[in-house]
Amino acid sequence: MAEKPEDLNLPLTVVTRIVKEALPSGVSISKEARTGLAKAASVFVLYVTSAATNIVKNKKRKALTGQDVIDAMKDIEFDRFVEPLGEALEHYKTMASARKSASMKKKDEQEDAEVIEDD
Amino acid sequence: MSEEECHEDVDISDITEHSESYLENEHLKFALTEATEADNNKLEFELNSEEQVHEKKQKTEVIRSTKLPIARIKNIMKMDPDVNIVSSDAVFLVTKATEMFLETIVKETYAFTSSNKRKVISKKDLELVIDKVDCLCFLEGAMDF
Repeated sequence: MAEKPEDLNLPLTVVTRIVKEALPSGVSISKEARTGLAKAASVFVLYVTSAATNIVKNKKRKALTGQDVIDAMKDIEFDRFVEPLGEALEHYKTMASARKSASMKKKDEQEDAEVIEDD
Repeated sequence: MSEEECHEDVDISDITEHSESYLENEHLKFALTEATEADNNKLEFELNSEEQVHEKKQKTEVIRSTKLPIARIKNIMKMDPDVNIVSSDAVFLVTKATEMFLETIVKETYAFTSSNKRKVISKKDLELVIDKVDCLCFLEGAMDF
């Protein structure tokens, strides 16, 4: 498989941080193992994407959505991720709509501020 | 053989538990992010209210809701020729799932490492885990580098 390093690899430092937090203190990981984990993560992304894309194709849709990703988890035997991902999706949607209303609010405040300055 | 089964048993409850607490922390991070998005733009106005000064400080404390870079994950996803449009929540969830996956696989691997009374996880341990755990079979050959 022809690989372009920047394209396929995830940053080693971030991967290391994630795995270290999941381990008890005093445990370390060899450099090769860290590289292996980063590679495994990339392969996982491709694997999930492929499974989710299949779902989208079968439903004759075109856009890959968050729900498709969650459904794909069941197909790839990662059922235990379904619930946490469902919660994450809810949080993400809440945050997205909060951001929207915050930027709209800020827009109003901008207009108010301009009015004050004019006076 | 029984050792093999033992490792698979360790796997499930361990991981689910951790994933749940991980997400509880994420909830707090989301709340922080919310506040700072709003005042990103307030910085220009300099109305100098105490509130704004406080919010500016919050901006520097913001923790991302994902650790892995979303843009990089999106690039990897786009390498699949069948992928057309990907919604932002899909990329976000794949990023989250990948983080959870990393936690899962490293804990699984550590079980092997510690059963051999070692404290350094090696590539060999990873290879063993990929071989033994069913749901990791898609990684076969990935460690050939």
